[in-house]
Amino acid sequence: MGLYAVTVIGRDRPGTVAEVTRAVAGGGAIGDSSMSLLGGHLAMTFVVSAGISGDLLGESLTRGIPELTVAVTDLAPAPVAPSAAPGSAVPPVPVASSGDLTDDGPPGLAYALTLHGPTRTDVLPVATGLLAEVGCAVTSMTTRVAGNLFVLVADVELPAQADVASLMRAMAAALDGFRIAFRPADPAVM
Amino acid sequence: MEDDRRTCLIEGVVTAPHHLLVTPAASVDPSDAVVSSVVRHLLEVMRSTPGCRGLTAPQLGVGWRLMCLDVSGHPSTRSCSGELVIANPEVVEAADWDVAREGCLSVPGLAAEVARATQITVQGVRPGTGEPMTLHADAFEARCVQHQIDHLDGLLFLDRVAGTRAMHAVRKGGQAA
Repeated sequence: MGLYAVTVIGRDRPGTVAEVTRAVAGGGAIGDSSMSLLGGHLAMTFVVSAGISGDLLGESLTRGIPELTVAVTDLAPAPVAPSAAPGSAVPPVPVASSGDLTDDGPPGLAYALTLHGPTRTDVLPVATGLLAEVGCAVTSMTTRVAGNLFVLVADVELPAQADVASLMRAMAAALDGFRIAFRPADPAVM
Repeated sequence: MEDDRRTCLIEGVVTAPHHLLVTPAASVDPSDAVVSSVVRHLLEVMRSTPGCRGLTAPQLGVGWRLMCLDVSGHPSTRSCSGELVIANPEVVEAADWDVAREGCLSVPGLAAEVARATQITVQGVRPGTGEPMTLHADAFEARCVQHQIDHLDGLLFLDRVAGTRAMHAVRKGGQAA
């Protein structure tokens, strides 16, 4: 059983998402997935567990959704997943392992980063570069451009010993004219 | 109040990125005649802009703590004070947070889910008379008031986005508060 990342990109039109999911589900079991419209283009990513090779899966999807661009990446090695019932043709749904993002070591500090200001070509590399310098993991990120306004929202995990104030100062210095905010994002456990 | 701020009154609404939208506004003298003229302009723009439920002086190019709102007829409205103008407003009590999607005339093309208190008490003064006023608002009116006061504090709803999946592109005209 292989585990693959399937990305599908192309022009959006009514019914496209349904066509894509139908095609992908026909090739394997869908686990995590995300879908966005980026500049008016559909961008979908799936984690798929399938009993065929990545090449065959890619060929199958390309035939099924020929108007869209499909890429299949082999993810090594597939995590242990519940086995399908004997004789079942349905592959198990891929399950993320608890160690996907972090290894050993103290737990990090979860923050939501919001940043907005005038559109600049270097905002993303500057912001993510500064995050990387302090060992910060970006777990989710969205950017939007509306006119001359650039907005970034990211879920980040800072090392426990990170100095958030210093990081904010560094970002403010590097991204003059931007509003930058870090808000604690630890979920309340109830 | 500084005179140079009075000269900034513009036609239309300031859109981000703009320094007035990220700068805390200054308190005003409610009896100042110029404040009254800005109030008139605020109301004119709010009334003439389809879908506009509230507006602040910074959005018109003036860094003063003045806001207006009117949530009449909005489907999520419960408390409704009608058309209202407040100078120097401050939230003094807030309770029962909820998340809902909002947009802004000053951030065209984007909307986001934002957590706001659903019950608030706001204190301020009436422009012109300077009479102290207290507003108790809930539901959509409470959200709208907090959105406007954020403007006066130099904050946009973008600063309160609930998460990476909480920001959305919207078509022109798809705006709220």
